[in-house]
Amino acid sequence: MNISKIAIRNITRQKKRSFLLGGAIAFGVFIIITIGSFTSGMTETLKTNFTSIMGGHIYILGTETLDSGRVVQVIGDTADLGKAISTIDDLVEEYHIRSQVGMGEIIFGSKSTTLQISGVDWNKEEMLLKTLTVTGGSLENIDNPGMLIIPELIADKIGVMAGETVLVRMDTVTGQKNVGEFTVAAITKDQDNFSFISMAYTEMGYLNGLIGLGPNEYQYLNLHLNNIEDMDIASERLAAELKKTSPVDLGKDDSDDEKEDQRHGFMFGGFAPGAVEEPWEGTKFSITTLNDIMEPVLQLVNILNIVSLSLFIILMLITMVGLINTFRMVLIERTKEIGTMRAIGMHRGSVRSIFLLEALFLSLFGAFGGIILSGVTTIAAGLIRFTSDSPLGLFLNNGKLQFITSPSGILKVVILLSIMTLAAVYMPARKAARMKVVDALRAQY
Amino acid sequence: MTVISLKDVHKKYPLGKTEVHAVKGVSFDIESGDFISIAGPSGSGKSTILNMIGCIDTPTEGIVTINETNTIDLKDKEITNLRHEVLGFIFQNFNLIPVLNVFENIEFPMLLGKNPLPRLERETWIFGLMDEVGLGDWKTHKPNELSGGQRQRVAIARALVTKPQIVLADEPTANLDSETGASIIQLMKKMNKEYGTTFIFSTHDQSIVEIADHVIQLKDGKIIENKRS
Repeated sequence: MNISKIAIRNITRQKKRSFLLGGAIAFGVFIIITIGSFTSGMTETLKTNFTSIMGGHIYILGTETLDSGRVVQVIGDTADLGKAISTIDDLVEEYHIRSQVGMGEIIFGSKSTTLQISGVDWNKEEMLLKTLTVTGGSLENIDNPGMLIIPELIADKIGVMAGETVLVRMDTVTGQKNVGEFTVAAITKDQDNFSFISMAYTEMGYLNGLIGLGPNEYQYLNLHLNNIEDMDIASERLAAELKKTSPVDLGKDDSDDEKEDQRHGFMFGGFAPGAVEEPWEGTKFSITTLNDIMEPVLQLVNILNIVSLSLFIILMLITMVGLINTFRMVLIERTKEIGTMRAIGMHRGSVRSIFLLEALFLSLFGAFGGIILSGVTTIAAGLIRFTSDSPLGLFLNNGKLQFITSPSGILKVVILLSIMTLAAVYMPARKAARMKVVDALRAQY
Repeated sequence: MTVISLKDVHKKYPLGKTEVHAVKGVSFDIESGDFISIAGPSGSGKSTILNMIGCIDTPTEGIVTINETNTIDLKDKEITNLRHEVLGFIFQNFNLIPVLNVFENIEFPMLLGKNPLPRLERETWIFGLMDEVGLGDWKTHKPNELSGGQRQRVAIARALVTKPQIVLADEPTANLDSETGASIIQLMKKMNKEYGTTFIFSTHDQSIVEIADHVIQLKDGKIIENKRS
């Protein structure tokens, strides 16, 4: 008890010096925790945004080869798929089926722009409905054929308002050109500020008619899981079951460039139909998970984390050099005091402990300061609302940056910092403990 | 009963390329409850002898025994325990711990032991000691808020707090004016009588030497007089 008390009070003896050292430690801790919170928040935001936009965590795409050799995206006979999905029924919260126009051109008067249109079954898309914020029109009649929901950005670009009619030029699944007429039912806020995708929605049956699919056909089956952590297990179980009856491509097994492109194509609006290397019988399923899509982002996050950790270690190494020098000075300043404490019966271990505890407490105070500073900064940064066309759009959650600070991450930083501190101060502490009492008492400083 | 015994003790220090022979074959015994002055001019070896008795320095030759234990054979842990349990120290420069207040400074040695007294008993004993040394109202003051005499009183209380058999005081009055110095010696004498603690103090001030029951006069590292009153 007494040793801890002395160690803490010793910190206050040279307030300016302690403040500067603690400040340097706080800065390092602030940097790593803030960047860590940002990358965690960014990852989560992206996952949430993708889940919302894509309509789930696991995406099953069906493709068939026509007699002409052309590949079309379609899921028709669902018996095999239904059976496979029943094996992971316990893991799935919702099923969404969708058709999609990858690169359509929306035309209003003399203005036009590109967009993607998802054909959805509104009766099964409660989750999607919840994420849409209407700024014009209403969602009342959206299940009527030809009703279209478009994001604000698209509406602004072509100057259309709710209730007005637009034309959409698109490709059918067989690569033919077609034009459809839609009524703008509602204009929504760019979904989660995820405006770079500019996704529009319409009733699936109407869209199917325009792109050459039957009324009961669709292109994607998206699974929304109860627990996002089950994504890989669920996709593996599903693939294993589907493989018994149909050819299956797994997103994460695809390593060649073409399939990589396909995956990105899927992510941003569907595969371009075309000739394919080897024809197959029936429906070939491609299973992609959110993790597969997130892979490049996670790589970026990892790089950011490595950079911040390296920066933290460099900052801490510089600080530790300062700490070593400080405690060498402290050793000189307190030589007589050490001699006194040893003379009146303090053991070497206790002298060493005073030094180590003093450094440890200083580091912990610094770390605490860094954590508080990081908390204040992330809260303040999280309050800033960015415009929907901000370059940060990809990382925004309702127009704001999201920061997620993990207690285990903080604990790891504090443990690493404590180890570095104790290692840095060990030598001066050892020297203090091994000092000859008589020499220490004779010291003139 | 002999508590301390020095037999043909020598101490040599290296000083640059030469060697200083600070203590030259000193032998004497100290009895329990003695109030002893080791006197002599500067450089006569007083502090060196006190350091060897206090087990903070070792003789180059000869034997120092405390309670019939040869201190030279002891390991650091044993010596530290011996210093804590048997000895108390009073220094010329007071050597209080600057970050601790008066009460905490006095309490400090008690907390270094393996089995410190329970808090209430400890506090009663410390407050009693503080009253004895005249610092009853200075409990929470830090050393830098005290006068030299007060600091030395704290040091005396600190030296006595573990109820040691022997208290060593190296020139305890050297940094005090003569009046305060005399009061400090009187206080030590009072404690000697009250608690039966053996006090050994070094001084070069002949006016306070005479207060001691037993005076050992040194000159050039040798005893020139060893007299009991």
